[in-house]
Amino acid sequence: MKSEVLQQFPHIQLTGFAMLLFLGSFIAVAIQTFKRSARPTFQRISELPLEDN
Amino acid sequence: MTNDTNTPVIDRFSFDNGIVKAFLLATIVWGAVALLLGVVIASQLAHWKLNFGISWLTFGRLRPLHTNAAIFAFCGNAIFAGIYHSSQRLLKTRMFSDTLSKIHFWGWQLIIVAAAITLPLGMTSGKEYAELEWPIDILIAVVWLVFAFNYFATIKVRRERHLYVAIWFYIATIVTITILHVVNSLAIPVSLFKSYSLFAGAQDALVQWWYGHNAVAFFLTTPFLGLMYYYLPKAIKQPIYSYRLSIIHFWSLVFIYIWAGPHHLLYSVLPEWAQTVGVVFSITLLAPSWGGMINGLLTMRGAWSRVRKEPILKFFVAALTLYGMATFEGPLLSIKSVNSLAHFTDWIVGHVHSGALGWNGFMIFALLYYTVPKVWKTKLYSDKLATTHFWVATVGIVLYVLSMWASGVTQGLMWQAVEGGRLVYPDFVETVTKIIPLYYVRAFGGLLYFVGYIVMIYNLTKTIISAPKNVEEDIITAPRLDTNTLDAGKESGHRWVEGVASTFTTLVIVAVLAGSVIEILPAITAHTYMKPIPEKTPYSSLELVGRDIYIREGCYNCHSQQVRPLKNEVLRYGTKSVPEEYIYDHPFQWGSKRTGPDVSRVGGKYPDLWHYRHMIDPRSMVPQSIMPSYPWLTKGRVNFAELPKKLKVMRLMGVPYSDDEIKNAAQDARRQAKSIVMTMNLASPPKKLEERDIIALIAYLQKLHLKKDI
Repeated sequence: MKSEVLQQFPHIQLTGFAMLLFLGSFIAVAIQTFKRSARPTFQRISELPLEDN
Repeated sequence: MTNDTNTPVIDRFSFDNGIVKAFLLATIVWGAVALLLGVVIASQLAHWKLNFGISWLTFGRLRPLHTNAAIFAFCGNAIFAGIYHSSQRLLKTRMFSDTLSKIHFWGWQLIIVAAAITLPLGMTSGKEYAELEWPIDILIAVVWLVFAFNYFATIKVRRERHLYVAIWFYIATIVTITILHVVNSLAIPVSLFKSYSLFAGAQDALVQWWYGHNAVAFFLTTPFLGLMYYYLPKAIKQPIYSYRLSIIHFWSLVFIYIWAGPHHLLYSVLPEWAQTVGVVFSITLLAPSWGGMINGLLTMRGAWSRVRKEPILKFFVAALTLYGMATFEGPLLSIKSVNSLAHFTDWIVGHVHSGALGWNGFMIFALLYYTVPKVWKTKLYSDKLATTHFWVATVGIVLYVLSMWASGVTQGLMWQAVEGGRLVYPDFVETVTKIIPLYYVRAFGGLLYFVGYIVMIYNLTKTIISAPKNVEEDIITAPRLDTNTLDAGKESGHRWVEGVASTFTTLVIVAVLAGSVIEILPAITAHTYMKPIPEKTPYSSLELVGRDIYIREGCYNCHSQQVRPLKNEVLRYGTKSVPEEYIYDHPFQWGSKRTGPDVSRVGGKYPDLWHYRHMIDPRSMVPQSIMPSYPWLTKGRVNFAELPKKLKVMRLMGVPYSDDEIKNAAQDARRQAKSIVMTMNLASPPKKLEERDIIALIAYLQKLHLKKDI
């Protein structure tokens, strides 16, 4: 039976690894993004659409 | 780049607005086709006679044409129009190659025309949102790669170091759609317009809904979010509310979306842990989706009073609101208890269309109303007509969605109604007749949406006609990008990543592949776990032809083939489905909608004669049926000569046909067909009935059963 056999699926740990990978990446990106020093650059980038006609 | 005196070199160039105009016009034309098809098929469900007894006009043949036209022709051309328009401006460069842009445009239109011809003729792979057969799939891949190359080459020659957030969404779209299309389209051809999916059964279902859900994510969501991040600030003339939120939004969305595919397969034979992953990530998806919506709506700060007067802003606000609604409803529908009610019902149709008509449609209208006057260098002909369009379309959406919610909940509750261990509504058709009035409301709602669209066509046509002729393109000046003089080296973290397109793209691919691998790996390796069961033998050659006819006629658009492990389903249909019963199904035909009953246990339930009469005129067997009649099945002839080749291809994919079975395929099919005709014992059967399609289809339908409980 596939259901039972796939419960033995040996790569299930990959799911946990991927979730940890995401969590770690999310925290790193959030810290980098919301650093005070990043603000002026992001302010400038956010105005890029307004630079053209 | 600087000259000898260390001042930056200033380039002079113009944007390619020709390609933008081409895609805008294509959007307008194909949108009308897609929406008209939607009105037609909605009407056919309300009134079955509107199938007109013509094979290429039946619901089963036209529904795939409608979905392909809406997604790839209408939304596709709009996406490209917006991408070409916004990217050149954000990157401060003309597209890398005008020739590649033209190849992309004409190639895409050729794909659409090929779809418009092949799908009504029944040349379909039988996989939702991926119905196009293998030659067209190859064309899609080639055209897409042309587009991708041109796009990344344009990024390479850009004059703006930073990649604005809209560009990231476009990059994510390009790379992910490539992966999705290639994997899901894997098939072995039998003839020029017939192939069999490389995957089978549960394996195929997982690949298909990894593709299907992520087609929604990366074709109907990410590029439109990119367009929102560019065009909304342009329309309001103020920057996005929080650029930093957009970064979090992007990465969360791109990572999480991929995992949500299994929510299309809840209560199926997919392993429990895979279903749970789909549920958890679908609910988590609420966060980035609403992050994007909130970012967009808060961008309107200080400009809300303008919504009253400016139709473009009305469309943007409504689009974002409906996006929020659809992305709340989606996670809700992913909860198993809600899903057990809603799956296969019209609630799902309502959910899809609130997103498609509201988010995608309204974003496209905002794009058209904003961009057409800009590229044709004129003013919009009439704001009043645009406002009329908005209100007519909005009422249309409300009628569509409300009727489908009511219909879906009614269906779900009626199917689930069990009293004293028995079904309260044992005849499926009782649940159909109850909701037909709501089908009329839905068709009317769709018609209103289409009427609004016609108003828009008139408005934009008058706008274009009034535009000045032979206007030269503006010359743009911008300093050439110089990584030595710009502050690239001083940046860090995400600001640095945004300037390095190849690294950025690689990270997007990693994010997308992470979820894909987890979702696809159990499917890809399924053959190592699944073993054949004695209750399920491969299809005979005649049954295989019958299956091809089932796929050709699009029966999966109305009939499912999976009995969920729910009490009411087992009572209504029989034994719950097991994964092993589908191992020879290339492609799977589980279906995603029950306009008619599930057929996975129909084999042996009715005699052959019942099926014969039912296919020719369903109302002869079920008086209240809304199923189209299929009289042409008694005229179409089975191609017996092709049968050995079909079995050979199946054997190549692991179906255990013997050499004798392949050699004698035509002979065996004729023998089985004759036996069915004799069993029916018709008073005056049509000439050579044993060679007709209908007999093959009967053979297939009678195969759909499990001989004993597992």
